[in-house]
Amino acid sequence: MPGPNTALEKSDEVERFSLPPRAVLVLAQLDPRALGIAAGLLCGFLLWLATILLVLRGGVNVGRNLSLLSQYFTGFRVTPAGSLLGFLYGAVFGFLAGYLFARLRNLLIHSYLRFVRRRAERMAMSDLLDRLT
Amino acid sequence: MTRIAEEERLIERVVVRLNATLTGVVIGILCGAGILLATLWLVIKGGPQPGAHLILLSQYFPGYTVTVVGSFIGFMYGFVIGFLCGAFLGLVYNKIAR
Repeated sequence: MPGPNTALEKSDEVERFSLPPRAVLVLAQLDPRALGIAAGLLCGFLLWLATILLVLRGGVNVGRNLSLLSQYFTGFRVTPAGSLLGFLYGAVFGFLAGYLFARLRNLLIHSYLRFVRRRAERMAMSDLLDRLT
Repeated sequence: MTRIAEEERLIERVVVRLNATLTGVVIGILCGAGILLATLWLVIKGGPQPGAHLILLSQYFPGYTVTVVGSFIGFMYGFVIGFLCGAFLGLVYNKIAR
């Protein structure tokens, strides 16, 4: 099972470079597909569980409030079949949320990295020109 | 290829692994604090029937009420559920991430 330091799984490779491993860890990428699948399974399961708990409990007007989700999830109902449909909807939306979160995070990290690099290059060039003049 | 470019390529190849326990604790605290604050806010605001909708959480969290004591019970429930969700997220992510 992965432990706390497995973020530096490629540490041999990392050590060949001048960057400290912690910096590589901060700037490393999230895997969008993995986060999407994990979030999708989680959201789908939570929605399924929330539905099935109310179905099992029963009563006069089962899931009156939870069934309001059908405003967004067409066909969703607080029934055993509805709970499976809810799982599918939850999985799809969870996947999209996790995938987009990871993509956006990676994009921002890499934009920041390029910004820092360009700024350092500009400063080095400016320093060089100062020395020449 | 320059050293800097090589380092950039390296960073693009390295994939973050999540510490499942820490992810669970962080999400647990966020969920717990969210329920605590939401409940306390309604308790402080008061009114004839405070938390008419938030009390629906008691369908899933037995013993939860929109009161000061209930906010702490809600925190505990939120923490436990959030921890389980975060740990699950971390474990599944680590299994799949390449």
